[in-house]
Amino acid sequence: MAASTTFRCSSLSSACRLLFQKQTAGYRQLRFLSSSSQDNSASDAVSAAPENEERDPFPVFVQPRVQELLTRITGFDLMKVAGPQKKPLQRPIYKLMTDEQLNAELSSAKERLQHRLQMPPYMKPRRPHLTPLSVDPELAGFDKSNYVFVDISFGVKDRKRSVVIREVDGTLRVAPWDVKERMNQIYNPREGRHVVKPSMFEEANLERMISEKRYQYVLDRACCQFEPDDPDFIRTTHRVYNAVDQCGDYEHLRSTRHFGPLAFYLAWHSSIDGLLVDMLDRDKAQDARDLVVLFADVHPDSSCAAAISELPQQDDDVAVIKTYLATDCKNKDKVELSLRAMVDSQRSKGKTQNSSL
Amino acid sequence: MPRLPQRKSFDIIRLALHGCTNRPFYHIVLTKNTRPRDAPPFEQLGTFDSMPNIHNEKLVSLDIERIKYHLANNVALSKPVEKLLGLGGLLPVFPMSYTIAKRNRKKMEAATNDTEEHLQEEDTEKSQ
Amino acid sequence: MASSVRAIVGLSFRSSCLSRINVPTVQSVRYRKPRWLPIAASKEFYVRKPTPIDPEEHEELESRYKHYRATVRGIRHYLRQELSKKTVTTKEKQELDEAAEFAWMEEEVKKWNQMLATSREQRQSEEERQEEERLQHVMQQKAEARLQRSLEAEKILQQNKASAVNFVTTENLEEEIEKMLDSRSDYNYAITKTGDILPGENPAVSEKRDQQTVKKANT
Repeated sequence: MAASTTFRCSSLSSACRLLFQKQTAGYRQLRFLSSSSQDNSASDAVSAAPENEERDPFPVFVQPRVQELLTRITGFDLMKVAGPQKKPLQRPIYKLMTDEQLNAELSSAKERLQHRLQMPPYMKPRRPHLTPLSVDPELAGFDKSNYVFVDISFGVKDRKRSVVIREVDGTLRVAPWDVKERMNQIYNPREGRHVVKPSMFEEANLERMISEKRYQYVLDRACCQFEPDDPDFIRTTHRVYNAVDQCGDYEHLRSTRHFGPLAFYLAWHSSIDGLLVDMLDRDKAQDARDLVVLFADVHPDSSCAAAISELPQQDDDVAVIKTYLATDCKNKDKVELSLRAMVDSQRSKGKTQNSSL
Repeated sequence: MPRLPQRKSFDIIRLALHGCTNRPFYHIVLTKNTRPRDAPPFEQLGTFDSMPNIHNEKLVSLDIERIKYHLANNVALSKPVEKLLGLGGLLPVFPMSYTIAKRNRKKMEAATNDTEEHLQEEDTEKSQ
Repeated sequence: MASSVRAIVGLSFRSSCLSRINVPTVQSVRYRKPRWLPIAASKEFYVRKPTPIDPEEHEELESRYKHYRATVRGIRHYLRQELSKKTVTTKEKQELDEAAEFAWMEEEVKKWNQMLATSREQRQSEEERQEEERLQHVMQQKAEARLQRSLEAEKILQQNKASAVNFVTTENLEEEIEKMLDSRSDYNYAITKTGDILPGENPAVSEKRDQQTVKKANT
């Protein structure tokens, strides 16, 4: 009797050791056992930390003020948001409406369309997981192929899903991101996403698409295919943003969901001059001012931000732009030229209006 | 006709074969041990694709929450399922997995030694 | 077993002979020994070679199994504890929820009752008022009717009183009788067109009759 109890005790203690204290190799059995909500923190702990920590753009991006600025810059061109699309043929519906009904219908349609302008978040690329959960050299060669384990518990979200891989050499590790994406697509397929990355996103093909100026198509497809913190997504979008900035094709993306991230990208990398010139050329003083304020928000330590915060009247568009010109602008001549042109044109407009009045 | 002796009946998590010809595919299911292998189970707890895909991976999906619940309720596990759970890190690695790994390693070593010997022999022949 | 196999073969052979009419009659029947048949004669003394066990491996396996089973038991125990914790909390939570729900329900019922009471009181007071009105009305009507009736009765009384002057009483009975007798008239006559009365030719008959009646009255 005594012997049996001691045996049980010893076995229990060993079990507990395995469950709780374990282990020098970092065997996170409990991590996998216990709720997958811990997985994020676990993965954070495991993932590699680069030496020089880069600033994370995401918290800045989701600030309500920044979001408001971005949505305001984006604009809302009905023809662009809800313009002609490829759709199966339908019979048109004719309705006889009063002006009131028509206005109500239009406003509801606008509300619906606002949804289409939801911006994909701007994030930094995710880090690969490096530290294995368990290293077990005794298990090496147990099979000729890796085993991938996917948690398909009810109600687990794709981003929270825990996927681990047991490799042929016996190490158990959190699955690499591409494997995880693949598993998500296999066990919880999403419309428009492919298991295999479309060849469109390969460098050469991407180059061709960009030279054909199919920016929106590429960006839409990337949104569909990748997670926002996927390095591929970031590479593709940044490549497109760069191309847009170089060619000055900002109008292609205006009134789409990608304009906000584009502006944010440019502000983040302190190269808003091209976009600013474009806005001024199009007589969008309000937008230009918003862009400069966004730049100041993104770089709170810059001299521009300090100068703007000291401005007596911050609502004055031209004054704000001028402070930017005086501080952080890299392409002063061009911007100044367009600013002057805009101011002149506004003045002449005012004159003609006055004379006509 | 003599009756077969009654078997002890208990709940068990085991594999049910649901593939086609030459294409095995398993469901991880909870059933009574006395029921036929592929009979409708009480509950499906996952799948196991035993054929490696193009990335040389065998895919196992597990409903962890439910499996934990059943483990707590003392439901038995079949050996293959124990092996899978052990590899997945839900349970400790199954002892037989170690043994098989060891055997495989031994085989591999023998094979490499053989080839090396062959190569050496060939070399000696050539030199001669 | 051999015989049965032969039988199947024979059957299949015969059926293949029959298969001139392009019908696939051959059916492969795999023979299985029922459990109650004895061991086949060829296998009567067959003993399976035991799977060779590597003693070193075996020892290792045994110790590993021991450890494995203990660990699994521990994990199960741990999971059970977790589960019981969860269920306990859920139970407590459920009880709390139930209590809260009961309190809420009570409150609602009270509110409902209050509302009903006020509405009922209103209704009842209204009804009482209406009843009183009705009663008053009825009383009034009854009084009116009584008055009417008394008036009518008085009227009748007056009428009767007025007519009572001509009544026959014991005092003036004889007189009246005499008067009646005196005021006898003979209607046995004819009237002409001009209204002249033509008395009968034979008044005796009427007189006789009159006499007879008088006699009867006297007797």
